[in-house]
Amino acid sequence: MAWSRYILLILLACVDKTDFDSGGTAFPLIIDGLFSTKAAEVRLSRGYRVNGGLNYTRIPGAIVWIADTDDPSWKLILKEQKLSFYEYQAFNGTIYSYSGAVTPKAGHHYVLHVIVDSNEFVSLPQEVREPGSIDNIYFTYTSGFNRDKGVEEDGLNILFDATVPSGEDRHFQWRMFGTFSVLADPAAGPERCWVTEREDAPLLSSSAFATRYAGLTARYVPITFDRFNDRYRVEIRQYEISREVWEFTEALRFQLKNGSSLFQPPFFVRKGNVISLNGQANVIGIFTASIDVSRAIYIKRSDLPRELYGQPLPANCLRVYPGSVAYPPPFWM
Amino acid sequence: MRFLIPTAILALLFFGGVANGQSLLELPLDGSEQDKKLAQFLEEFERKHEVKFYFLDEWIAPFTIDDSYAGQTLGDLLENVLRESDLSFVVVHDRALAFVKDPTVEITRREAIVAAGRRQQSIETATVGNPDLFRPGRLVTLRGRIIHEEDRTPITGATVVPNGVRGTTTDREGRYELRLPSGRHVLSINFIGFKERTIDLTLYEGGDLNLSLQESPVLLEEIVISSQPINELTVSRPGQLQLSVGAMKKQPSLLGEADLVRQLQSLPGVNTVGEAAAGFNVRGGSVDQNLVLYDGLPLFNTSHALGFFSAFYSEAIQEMSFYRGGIPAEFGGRVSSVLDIRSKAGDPERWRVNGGIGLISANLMARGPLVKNRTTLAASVRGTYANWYLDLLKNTYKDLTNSQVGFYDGDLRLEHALSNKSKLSFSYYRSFDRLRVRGDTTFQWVNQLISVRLDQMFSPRFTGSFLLGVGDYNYTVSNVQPAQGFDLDYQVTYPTLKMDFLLTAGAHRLSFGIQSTYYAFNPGRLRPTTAQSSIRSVTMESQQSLESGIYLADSYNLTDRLVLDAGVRLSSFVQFGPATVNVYSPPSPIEEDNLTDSIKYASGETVTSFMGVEPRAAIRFSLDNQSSLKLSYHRIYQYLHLVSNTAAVTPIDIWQPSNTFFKPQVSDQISVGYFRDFKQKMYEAYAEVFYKEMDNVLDFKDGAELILNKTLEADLLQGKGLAYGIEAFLSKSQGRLTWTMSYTYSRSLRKFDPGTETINNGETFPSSYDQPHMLNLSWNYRLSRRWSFTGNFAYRTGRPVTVPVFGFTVDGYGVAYFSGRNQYRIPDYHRLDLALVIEGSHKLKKPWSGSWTISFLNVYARRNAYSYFFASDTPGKIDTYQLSILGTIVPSVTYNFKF
Repeated sequence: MAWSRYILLILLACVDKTDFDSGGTAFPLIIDGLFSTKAAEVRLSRGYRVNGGLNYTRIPGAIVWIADTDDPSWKLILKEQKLSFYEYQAFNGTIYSYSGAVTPKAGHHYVLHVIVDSNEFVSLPQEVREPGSIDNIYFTYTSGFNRDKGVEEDGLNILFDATVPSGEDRHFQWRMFGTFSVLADPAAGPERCWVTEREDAPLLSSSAFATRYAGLTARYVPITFDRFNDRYRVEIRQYEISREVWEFTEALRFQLKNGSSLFQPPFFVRKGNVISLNGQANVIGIFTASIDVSRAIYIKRSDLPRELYGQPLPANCLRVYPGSVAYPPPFWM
Repeated sequence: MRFLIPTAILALLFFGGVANGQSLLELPLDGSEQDKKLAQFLEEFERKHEVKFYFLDEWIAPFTIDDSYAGQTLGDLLENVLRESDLSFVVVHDRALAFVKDPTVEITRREAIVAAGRRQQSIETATVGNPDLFRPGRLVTLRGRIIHEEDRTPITGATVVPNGVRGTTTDREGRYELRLPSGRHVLSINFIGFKERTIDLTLYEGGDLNLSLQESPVLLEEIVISSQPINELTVSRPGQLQLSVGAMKKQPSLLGEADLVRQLQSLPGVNTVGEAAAGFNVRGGSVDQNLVLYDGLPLFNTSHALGFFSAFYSEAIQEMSFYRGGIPAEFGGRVSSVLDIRSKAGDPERWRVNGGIGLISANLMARGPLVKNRTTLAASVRGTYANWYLDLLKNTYKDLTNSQVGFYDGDLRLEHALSNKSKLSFSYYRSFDRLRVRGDTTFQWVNQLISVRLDQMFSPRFTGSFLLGVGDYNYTVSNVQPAQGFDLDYQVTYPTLKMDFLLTAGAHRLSFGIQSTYYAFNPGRLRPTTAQSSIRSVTMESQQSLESGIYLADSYNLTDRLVLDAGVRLSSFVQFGPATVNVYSPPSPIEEDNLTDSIKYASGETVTSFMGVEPRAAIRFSLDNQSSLKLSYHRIYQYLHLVSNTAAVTPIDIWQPSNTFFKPQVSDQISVGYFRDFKQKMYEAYAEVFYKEMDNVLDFKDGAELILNKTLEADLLQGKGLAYGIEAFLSKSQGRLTWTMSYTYSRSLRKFDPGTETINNGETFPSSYDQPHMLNLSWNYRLSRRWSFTGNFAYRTGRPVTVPVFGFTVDGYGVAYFSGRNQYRIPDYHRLDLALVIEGSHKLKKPWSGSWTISFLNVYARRNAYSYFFASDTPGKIDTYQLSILGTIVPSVTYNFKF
C-alpha cells in the first residue's frame, strides 16, 4: 500500500561522520620494508591523526640497511630515492651495496636496520625459503547491478591458482598488480600514462587450505574504456612471509574487510616484527625478505565479451589517476 | 452477651483483696469436662466453685473440650483449649477470670476492607470449612489454586495476601498455601495485568479456596510497566520480578513486535550494548551469564535477526520470572541472572485463537481442549517478512547489500491430566534464523527444545515435578562461491534430567531436587561444498561434558516479621574423552609458540572435573506494614562460557565448556534492599544496593580469531570482574495516570593479570556494558476506557568502546590503530518512545476482539551511536563514523486479535 511504503521509507539506520579526536597521541614511526627478488625498498612514515587530512610526515636523514646474519660481510644500504614519498628503494634505481649481491638467497636470514633521530630499529631475522609457484591466472566475466554505486556494471574477476611448499608454520602472501595505459589529451599533459592498481585487500595463505590454492580471487576489475582500450596486464607475485608479518597483515586484511562491522570493528594493535633497540621509541613495522615468484598475463580488448565504447580522453591522466607515471614500466611490452 | 470486661474490672474493685490467681488456676478437674462446650463447662465450674468467669458468648461458643483433664488443673485446660487462638485470660483477685480477645486481627481485617473500598474494589465473601468444627484462632492451612479466568490456566507468581500483611505467591501450578488462624480474614489476590480480587473470608477450618483472576481490560487498573515488582513489600524475594505479557503488548515496540528482552532492558540493573545487540546484561555481567529457561530447558540464543528481536513470541508465554539477585538454589549454571519462561497451555474448556499482524511479522496461536478438562493443546507460530525493511536499510548500510533476513519460531504444548493429582506435559519449541550477507555468505541458526514433564502431587504438602528434555543449538555458515564454497557447522546438544520437590511442613517450605545435563559440543566443522572449492576440510574435536546439581532450600518464617530463605547447591562439571589436551611448556605463558605436546584421552575417560558449593540466602525483615528490609547473598558457578571477540553477541559465537584451561566462572553477590509503599499501595518504591565479584571471566586477546581455532586457550584470557551499584525504583499503580521510574548507578569492571599478553597492561578497565547512569521512565495514561497513551523514556551513559587513535599507511593500505580496550565512550544514549493503544469492546463474551497499537519509536529522532567504525578511502587518511541503528523516528502499526 502506498501509505505504508511512505512510512517505510523513513525507516533508516544512519551513518554519520564523526569529529572524534583521540587527541594527544604521540604518533609512532611506521616502517614498511620488503627485500625480494624484484625489489629492496623501505618506506618510512609516521602515524597520523584520525579524521585529519592527508598528512605524510617526512622522515629526514634516516639510515637504512639490510644485513645478512649468515654472511656478516653482506650489507645492502638503501638511499632515499623519492623526496615526497620518503621512500628508500633500490627498485628501478641505483643499488648501493658493499657486497654487490642484491637478491635474497634461500637459506639466509636478513635483518632490516633503520636509524632515525639516533634511535635504532631492527627487524626480527627473516628466513628466506623457496616460495612455490603461481600456476595459472585467468578471469571470469560478471555483470549485474552494483548496489554500492547504484548502476549496472560489468567486470572481470581475476583468479589464480598457486602452489606453496608444505610444512608447518609457513605463510604466504600474494600481491596483484594490474597495469594499463591511458591515452590523454596531449595539450593538457602527457599523451599517455601507465596506471597500476593493486588488490583490494591483502591476499594471504590460510590454514584452511592445503598446498594447492585454486581459484583465489585476486581482484574484481570493472570493464572501462580506459582500462581495456589498449590492454590490461595482470601480474601476481607470491612471497613467503614470517608468522609475525602474516599475523600483522591478516589483522590488516581483517580490518579492511570488517572495519564497518555492525558488531564492532576489529581492533588493530599489532606492532609487526620491527622493534626499537633502546625500547623507548614508538614503532610499528613489518619487514619481509623473500624470493618472489610471479606470473603475468595480458587481457586484450578482444578478450572481452562485449564491445567497448569510446570515451573522451582525460585532460591530464596524471591527475585523473594519482600515482600513475608518464613512462612505461620496464615490463610493458 | 453475658459479661463484659469492664464488668470484670468493676467486680475486681468491688471485691477488693489480694489477687492470687495461682490457686484459682490450680483448682483440679475430675474428667467430667470432656466433650463439653467450653461455655457449658464454665457455667458448671462456677456452680461447683466460688469463682466467676467474664466473657462474651460469641468468643467462646466455638470452643469444645475434646480431652479429659482428670487430675489436671483449670489452668492446664484453659491453656490447651485457647492455645493458638486470639483469646487469653486474666485472673482477678483469685476469684474471677476474665477472657480477653486480641483485637489486632479484627482491626487489620477492617483496615484491609476499608483500603479495598478506597480502591473501588468490590469485596466478595467466602467461607471455608464446617462451622461445627470451628476452633477460633487455631492455626489451620488454607490452600488453593489461582487460575486465569478466561484461559483456565494457572497463574504463577500471583500474590495472596491476608489482611494486608505477609502473604505468599502461587507456584508454577498456580497453587498457594497459607497458615492462618481460623476466623475472619481479608484476602487480596493480585497479579500484574489482572484485576485484583478482595475476599472477606470466614475460615472455620483448613481447606481449599480456588479462585480465578480476570485479565484487566481497563488500563486504569493495569500496571504500566511489565516489570513492576508485585507486592515487593510482603512476598517477593529480593531481586525477583514477575513480568506480564499483557502489559508488555501495550508498550511502544520496535516495528510492532512486543519484545520480552527489550522490556527486560528497561529494568533497573539491566542494560544492553545497543539496539541491535542480542541478549541483555545484568548487574555488570555478560550476556552468557544469564540463564534463560524455556519450559525448564536452557536456551543458547535468545534473539532473531542479529538481536533486533527476541526469539520469544509474547503470546505464547504464560509467565516469566526474572531473578537478578538472591537467585534460588533451584537455579544454577549462570552467574548473573535467571529468566524463567513458561509457555502457555491450552484452554481446558474451549478453543481460542489469537494473532497479530505487524509491519514485519505475523503470528497466530490456537489453544483448546483435545479432551475437555483433561487434555489440552496449544500451538503458536510467528514468522517474518522483513526483507523489504532490509532493502531499505541496505541503501544506507552497504554491508547489507544483496542481503536477506528471515526468521520464525513456533511452540507446541500438550498437557494431559492423568488425575486430579498428576499432570503430564509435552513441550516443543523451535526458532530459526536465516541471514544472508553480501549475497554469497549465509548464516543460519536454530534453537530447538523438546521436553516431557510430569507434575505430581503426592500429598497436599508434598509435590514434585520430573522433567526429561533435549535442547539443541546449531548454526551453519555457508559460502556459495564456486571456488571457495564451504559450510561451517557448529552444534551443541544437551539432554537434561530434572527433579524438583516441594515439601511444606509448618512454617517451613522445603524445596530440593537434582538436575543433570549432558553437553555434546561440535565446536566446528569446515567442509568444501563445491567440486572446485579449494577449501580444506577441518573438523574440530568434539567435546563432552556432564553438568550436575543437587540443591536443598528452605523458606522459613522465623517470626511474623522475619522470613529466611536459605539453601545450598552443590554443582559439578566433568569433561570426558575422547579429547586431546594441548601441553605448553611451563612456566611459559599459554601461547602457540610454547605448545610442546598434547595428551590424548580415551572415550569416557575423565579429562578434568570441577565442583562448587553454592550457598544462597535471602532474608526479609518487615519493618512495619509499609516497609521491609531485604538482604541476599548467593554464590554461583558457571561452567559454560560464550567466547566472542565483539562487544555485541553474534550468532556465530562459540560456547566453550570449562576444561583444563578454562576454569569455571564463580560469582559472589550480596545485595541489600529497602522496600516501601505509600497511600494504600498507590505508590511503591525500593532501593537496592549490590556488590558482585566474578572470577575467571573470559575475554579475548587483541586480534584473536576464534573460529576453528585448535589452540583457543592461546587466544583467550581469564580474569576478574567486579560490579557494584545502587538501583532505585518508584511507581504509581492506580489512577488514570500510572507510571514507573527507575534509576541505576552501577559500574562493571574487568581486570586481567599482567602477563606476556594481557589487556590494558593488566590494569582495571570498564567492560563493554559499563554504563554508570541509567534512567528509565514509563507511563500509561488512560484517555478513555478503550484508548490509552503509553510511553517510555530511556537514558544511559554511553558505553565504553575501543576506538582508532591514529592511522598509518603500510603496503599502500590505510590502517587504523586502536586505543587500549574500552578506553573511550560513545555519546550518552537517550530515546523517547510513544504509543497509542486502541482496544476493542471490553465485553467479556464477545466472539471477536481486537486492538490496535500505533507506536512511534525514537520520537525526536536522536541518532544514538551504536558503534564507531572507520573507513580509509584514501591512503593517508582515516575517517571515523558512527552507526545509529534507529537513526530516525520509527512508526509502526500492529493489529492483535483473538476469538
